[in-house]
Amino acid sequence: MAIAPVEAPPGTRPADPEAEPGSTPQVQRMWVTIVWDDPVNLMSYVAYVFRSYFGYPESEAEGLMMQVHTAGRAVVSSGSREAMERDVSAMHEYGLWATLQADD
Amino acid sequence: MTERLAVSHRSPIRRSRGGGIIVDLDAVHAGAIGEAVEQTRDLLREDAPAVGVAPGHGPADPSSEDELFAAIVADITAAGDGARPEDPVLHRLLPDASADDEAATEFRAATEAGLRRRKIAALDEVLADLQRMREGRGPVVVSPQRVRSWLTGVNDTRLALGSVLQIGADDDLMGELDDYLDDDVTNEGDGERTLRAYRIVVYDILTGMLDKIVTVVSS
Repeated sequence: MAIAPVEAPPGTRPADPEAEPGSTPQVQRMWVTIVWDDPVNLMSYVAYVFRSYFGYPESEAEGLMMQVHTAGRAVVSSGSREAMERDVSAMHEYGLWATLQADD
Repeated sequence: MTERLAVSHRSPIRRSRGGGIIVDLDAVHAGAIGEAVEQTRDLLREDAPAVGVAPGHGPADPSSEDELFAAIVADITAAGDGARPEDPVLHRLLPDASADDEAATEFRAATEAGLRRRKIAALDEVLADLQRMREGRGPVVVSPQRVRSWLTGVNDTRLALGSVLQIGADDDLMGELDDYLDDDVTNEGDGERTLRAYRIVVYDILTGMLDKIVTVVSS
């Protein structure tokens, strides 16, 4: 029986191999991308962005969208700082209000 | 966030056979929407920090390596000072990437020019399509590759209008519009209320269009 390669869940970004040379990879700092609620963006559009950009299945994208809507914010991805900068840029391009921060 | 309630009137958006969308607006609606899209584009363009390469001239989806290279160089050379836009509408289109001021400034200095360029390119694409409809040259077929420009272009225009209208989470825009219409706002010579009513109508049309585009590309 063939063993399917284990894939990281959507939203998890591979650690940047070039980040902080000399540091031990195990203690690399994790960062997160947060999407914030706003009164203009459509719920259907936000769920669509989560599906199409991060590749979340429909139910997860809907769940994250509802978390943003009800809690005011949701962590939508995590990984290296560089990866989170890319995600935040992409969210801004879609018109979502997103920030990155260290996941301490 | 907000939700689009079901509307009875016919949507100007429908699915195309090739997996894209067909946008079918009459000249009047294309003109009204085009004006809002143009204002959003101009806001992103006019307030841009002075750079060597004029923003808006880079392709949204660079097709050749030369174009891609030129776009990358333009973004690097266009690095700004990272100052936050003073205009609240522009700030909504180009938000802070971090709660930490220093990190937000650094991020903005490195990325804002590129973000502006991509937003302007998408808005330009939507404008070109709307221009065709303004001239009465019929519905426009938007290929699957170009649907993203319509998604982000329409949404950025909604964000700009929503910011101008200072929309809050519990605002009842349609109720407000009904009140204006009951007062026959177009005849009373109150320029400010007439303009607000007009902007609400355009905002509502854009909201309906965006919701329909999402529905079409999701199924």
